[in-house]
Amino acid sequence: MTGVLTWARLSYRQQRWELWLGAAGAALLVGAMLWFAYTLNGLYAASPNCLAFVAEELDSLTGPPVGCGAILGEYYETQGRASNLLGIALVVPFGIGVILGAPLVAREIDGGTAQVAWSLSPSRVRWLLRRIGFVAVFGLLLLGVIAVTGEVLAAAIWPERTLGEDFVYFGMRGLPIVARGTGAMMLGVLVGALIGRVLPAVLASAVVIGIVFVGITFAQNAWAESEATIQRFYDDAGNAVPFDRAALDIEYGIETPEGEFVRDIGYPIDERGRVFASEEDLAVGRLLGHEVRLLVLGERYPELVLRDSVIAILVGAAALAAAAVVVTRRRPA
Amino acid sequence: MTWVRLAFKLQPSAIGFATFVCLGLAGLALSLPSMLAECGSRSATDDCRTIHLFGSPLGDAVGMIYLAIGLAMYAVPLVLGVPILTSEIEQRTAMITWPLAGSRLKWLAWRAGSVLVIGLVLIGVIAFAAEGLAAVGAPDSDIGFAQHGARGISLMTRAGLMFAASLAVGAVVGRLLPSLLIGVALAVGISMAFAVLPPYGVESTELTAAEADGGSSFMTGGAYRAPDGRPIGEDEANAIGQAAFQEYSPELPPDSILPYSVSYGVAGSRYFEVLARESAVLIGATVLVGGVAAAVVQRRRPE
Repeated sequence: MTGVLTWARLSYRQQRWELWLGAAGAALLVGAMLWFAYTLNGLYAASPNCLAFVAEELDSLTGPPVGCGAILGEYYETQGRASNLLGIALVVPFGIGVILGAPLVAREIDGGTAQVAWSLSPSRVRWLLRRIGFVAVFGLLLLGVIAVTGEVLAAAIWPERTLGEDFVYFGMRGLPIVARGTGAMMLGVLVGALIGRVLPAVLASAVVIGIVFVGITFAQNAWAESEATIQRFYDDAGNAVPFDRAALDIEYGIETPEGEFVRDIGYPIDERGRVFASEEDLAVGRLLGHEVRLLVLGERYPELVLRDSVIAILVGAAALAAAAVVVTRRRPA
Repeated sequence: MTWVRLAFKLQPSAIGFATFVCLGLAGLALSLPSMLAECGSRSATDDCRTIHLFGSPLGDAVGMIYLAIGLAMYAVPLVLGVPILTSEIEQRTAMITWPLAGSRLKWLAWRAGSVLVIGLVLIGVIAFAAEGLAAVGAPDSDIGFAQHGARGISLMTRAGLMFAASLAVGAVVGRLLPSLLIGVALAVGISMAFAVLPPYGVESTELTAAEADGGSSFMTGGAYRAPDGRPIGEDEANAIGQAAFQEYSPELPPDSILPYSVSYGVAGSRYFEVLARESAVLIGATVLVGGVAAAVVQRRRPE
């Protein structure tokens, strides 16, 4: 226990500026999120009848109830600002990876202390794990608080929706924030160990983390597309199918009579969502297919969250293993 | 060429990063119009103009490019400006270079000036590409205030101020990573100032409908007018409108008896007046903040 505390104290001393500034930034973000959640909850409590319109807006054929214009305007303005905070929560894990992860090993090499530390330590891998342990736990704690607060704020923005089965603000709340932060931090450590200088490592890790996670998200989009279901906007009788707001949108296109999905390339569509190959076909009623949405149903949200998180953590584990190899093999100067 | 090579040798990663970001964004801004033209030939229901990342729709492609340019406007000067003094102080080379230099101010002018010139050239490339992208969005009209701050001269003057602020933070704090983090917080503050400062004392006027709808004007507020043209408040406008709708229900009332809203602001045709004032203010602030950095360098101990 004493050894753990010694390493924690050492880590804190070496990175206290980053840790304090990171904590201050997280505290500001969390404070703002809680304030907006409190404000939105207050607006709902003050005018439940007016704000019930927000939930029905997409399906409503009429405007808002009389006398609700001002409160709805205030609600939408507050909601927009609150959504911006969730946008910040989306990028915070990557920022944590750059700020806390990249300098961990790079600073030791850059400052020349790695020469002494690695020579004194019986195992460089053990040194690496001890060196990153405290900072990683600290970073994950910050991300955990942001993740939970993100859930609270999302629930305040959409109180009538079941967010456990809803893709709204996917990646901006809950587990993915912590998992992506873990992956980003370990990638930062790897880049720092490879480059061995603080500023180049910080800059390179920003690029590497961005590229890796954009690549992961494209791969996951393709994966989700292969599992997506087709949903029409109108049924066979021409009645509008309620718009599923909980789903994850993949693509919009056409469902052919054979049940195949094709991307829409600008065919004429009638008011019942029926697609025709040309204006002539539209005139004679020769159908090409139906306008549809390719989507992943909201009930699969927990599964996709878990998948996204596991992938991010696996990337982090691979990066940590690679960092251990680099630390074991590289010269300390 | 010698001083460019020297500046690069002293800050290879920062200049390399800035070059990568600036040329990458400029390339994207220049190639986007042709990509969108291809996208425009598809159906309106196809959301190929929207960028999806990390499981969420982040925004339209043009908006995302301008957002990235807006971020680069702060990130590039920050990355170029902060290490100039912090690396010298942290690595203790300042202990040698400052006593050896005849004047610390001359040393700072050369050291920061060469990086500033490189940074402005790189930001200038983005500014030029962003100006072209904005012009593509409004081919038949004056772009006026469209994307103001994320293109052209205004992008360069704002980046110049951020560079001076980064230099000053580095001089005061003297450590790299803390200075970068404080610089990020400072960038947020500066961006808020950029949001509230315009139109820099240029008087707002009531805009014509064409000026208000064109997207090239700078809006400062709105008001209501009665059907006879006299100014009225929002409550009176609502009351007149509701009375008209009740009188004609279920038909719609004619526009001539309804109140209408008007916008106040600066028309796009007066853009250069605002730009000139902004440039003067920002260049003045840059000199002032640069002076703070110089004063700190002049007085601080080199360790």
